[in-house]
Amino acid sequence: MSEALRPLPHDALDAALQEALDARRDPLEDEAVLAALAEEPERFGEVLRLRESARALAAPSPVRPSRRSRAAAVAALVLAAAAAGVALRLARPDDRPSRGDTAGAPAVANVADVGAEADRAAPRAEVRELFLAFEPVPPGGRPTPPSRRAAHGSSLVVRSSTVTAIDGTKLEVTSQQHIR
Amino acid sequence: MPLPHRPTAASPEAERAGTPEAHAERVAAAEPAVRAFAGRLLGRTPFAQEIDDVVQDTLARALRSAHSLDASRPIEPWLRGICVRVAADRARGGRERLADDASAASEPSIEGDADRVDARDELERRLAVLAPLQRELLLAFHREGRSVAELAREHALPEGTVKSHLHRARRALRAIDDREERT
Repeated sequence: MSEALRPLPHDALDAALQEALDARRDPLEDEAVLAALAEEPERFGEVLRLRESARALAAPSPVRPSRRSRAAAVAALVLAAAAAGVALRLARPDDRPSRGDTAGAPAVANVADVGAEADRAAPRAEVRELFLAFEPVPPGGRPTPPSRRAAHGSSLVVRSSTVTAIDGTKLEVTSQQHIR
Repeated sequence: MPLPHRPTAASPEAERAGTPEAHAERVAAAEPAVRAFAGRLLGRTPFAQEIDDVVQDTLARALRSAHSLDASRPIEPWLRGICVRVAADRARGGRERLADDASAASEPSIEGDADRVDARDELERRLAVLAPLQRELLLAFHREGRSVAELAREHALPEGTVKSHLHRARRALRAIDDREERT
């Protein structure tokens, strides 16, 4: 007898689970599943996982960045890197704008804040580490105001950049880019 | 030799057995058993932190539902059934609460999108180990919403065989979950 035709071993909970899924019922609302769980409570996690798998299978595919949006991501990366570079050049290690007065705490600054220091003479800083994160945003998947949502059918967000200068100073550059 | 005393229909014990007070006493006395059962039910799930709440909800629901229990029957199986339903309700509601919280957040939920992409990637990786026919049937059934009858016609298989393939595919996914959880 082939594997496909061999009968499955009897298992009351499994049978109830499969029947619920075949009928597209939520196993957590299925009387037979719940009754079987009363006899085998340790298998509740198994029911939860199987239910999650079924939901994940049925869920619409999340939007992935298209080739065009990947190109836009690279453009955003360049922009953000440039902004971070400007920030480091303009911020002196001892007087950079920071939030919080805790001594020894890493400085956190926005590009705009750092840019306000533009008129000061500052030593050039060399970027030692630069982390940038990009995430695709599905159309309408973010709480963009309605007037802007129409203008941004698809957009990318530059979440944040952490820049560590050669002297160990850390700057967190936060910016958001909406790119059609 | 005197017979052991048994309450009769007319005795005060029997009359009291069906009262709300007697029911409350039985429910309270069963609390340790309910707690132990809830621990078995939820102890190895993401809801392990909610065991106390599930026990309390179970007892509260049991007190409100005295009319649905025959006072002459054991109370623990009845309480186990209630406990399972309470846990299932929380598991369903937990997801909805999380979704509500995410949509109510004023800041964009970039992490939520990334998590969904990660979950889908993970699922695709697990699907890749299934036999081609099982994978095809599973995706057609769940993702495309095709019926068992449609799939049976399309693949020239009995409906029972289609169901069997679906069951095996789900079992295989679950087995992968179990293996990965152990490692």
